[in-house]
Amino acid sequence: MSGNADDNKQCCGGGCGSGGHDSGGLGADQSLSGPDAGRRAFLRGAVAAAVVTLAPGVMLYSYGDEQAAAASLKPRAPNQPASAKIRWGMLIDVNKCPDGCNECVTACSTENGWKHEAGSLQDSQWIRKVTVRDRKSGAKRSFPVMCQHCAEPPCVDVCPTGASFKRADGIVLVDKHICIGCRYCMMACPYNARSFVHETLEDQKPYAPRGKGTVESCTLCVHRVDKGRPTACVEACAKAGHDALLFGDLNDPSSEIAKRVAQYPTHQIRADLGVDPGVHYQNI
Amino acid sequence: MVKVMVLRQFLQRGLSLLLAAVGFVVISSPQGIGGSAALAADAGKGASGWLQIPHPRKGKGAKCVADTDFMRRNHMKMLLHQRKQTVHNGIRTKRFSLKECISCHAYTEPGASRPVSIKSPKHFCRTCHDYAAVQIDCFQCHASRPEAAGGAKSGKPGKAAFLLHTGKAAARSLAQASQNRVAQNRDEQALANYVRSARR
Repeated sequence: MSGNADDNKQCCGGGCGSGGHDSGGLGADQSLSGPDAGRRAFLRGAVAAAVVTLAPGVMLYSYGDEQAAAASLKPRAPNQPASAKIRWGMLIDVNKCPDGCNECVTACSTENGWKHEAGSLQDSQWIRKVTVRDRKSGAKRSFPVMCQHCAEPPCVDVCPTGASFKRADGIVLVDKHICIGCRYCMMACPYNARSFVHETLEDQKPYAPRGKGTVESCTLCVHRVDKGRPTACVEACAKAGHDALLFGDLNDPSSEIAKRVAQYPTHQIRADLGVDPGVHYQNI
Repeated sequence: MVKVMVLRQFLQRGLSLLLAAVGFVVISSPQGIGGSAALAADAGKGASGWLQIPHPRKGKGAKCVADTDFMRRNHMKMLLHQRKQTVHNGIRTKRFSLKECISCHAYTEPGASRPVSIKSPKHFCRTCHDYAAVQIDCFQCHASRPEAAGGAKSGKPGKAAFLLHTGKAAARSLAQASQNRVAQNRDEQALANYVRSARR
């Protein structure tokens, strides 16, 4: 028996992780006492230590330039359609979102090519920072608001042409080929998330077409998501060191976002409307 | 009743063939129809006669995604099909995408740093569309030329991430290759469908 234990020790020392003993051996472990039990405990400790020393490497990969979410997002083959099994969503930790920081807004603007064309209230705005204040205590919170990618989107309900639609994976988009620019969706959206393009545009981003006479809004960086990359705002927030935004699949219980939504109390803005937004807010 | 319909179809086909033949004579003859005096008077204006037949420049690759005559007749159908696939289903195969057309057929004037946009009559799409007087709306929303170098090349992995990536790189490139093969097969299928529907 002791010979077996020694074998196991050597094996783990060689870096094979949990060891190769069979279940019969495991049964015997439980009845061990004295020096053997101590050895087992030491081995378990050694395995744990190996995991800890591995962790910084993993962190380096996951929280590098590409942001944590990139590691958990799986790129879809270009010929595969979006899957209805997935529900893309975002979790915004308001406590981590500093007042005055505008990184997510700037990143979105750079990525998708929207900017202040006319310099008026008519300008497109896919994402904006909103500051709320508690009247009694004066406590202030600042956080980004964009298209909430509702499960029951009112913009899709009212669209007369079918231009406003929800993709299988929960991303709400405007098909600008069939948008007639009536702006019903802008009226219907409870989050004021949509904009109308008033000006003639040129040199748009090849992956983010947008033009005069159509309505537009946050696309949840659909061109990036399809390639298994997180949205531009999420990436920028991580790069700025705030990590307030988290992107992922709400339907996948093993994803970071689903775990956090399950673990902590989160809010959807105007949850009373029953539109079930895909964007969740924490500590709001 | 059936006979009447067949006859009508036959007549229609005959008529369209006749029209096509007349059209061909008009286009191929440098002097126009029978070299009439009025048209011949304008013949000196262009190198190829009174009719300026467009000669769009060749793209970058060895050949286009389909034969030239097929592309001339069906490119709009292919783009329409692809746009539905991409916008609504998120299918982003490259072969028939507008973005690929634009980057392959981009024309840069000598000495210019960027390819011409749709504003220039030398833009690939305009060379034919001006001639055919068919207005295209694509570029009200879509970029008419490839993105400027140094533009948001968003999301190249950082150095650290890249180094840790390399271990998995081989396996991933294998997987990518098989994915590409699947995509290519699908494209071939799509092209066959286009050809079939065009012949109908």
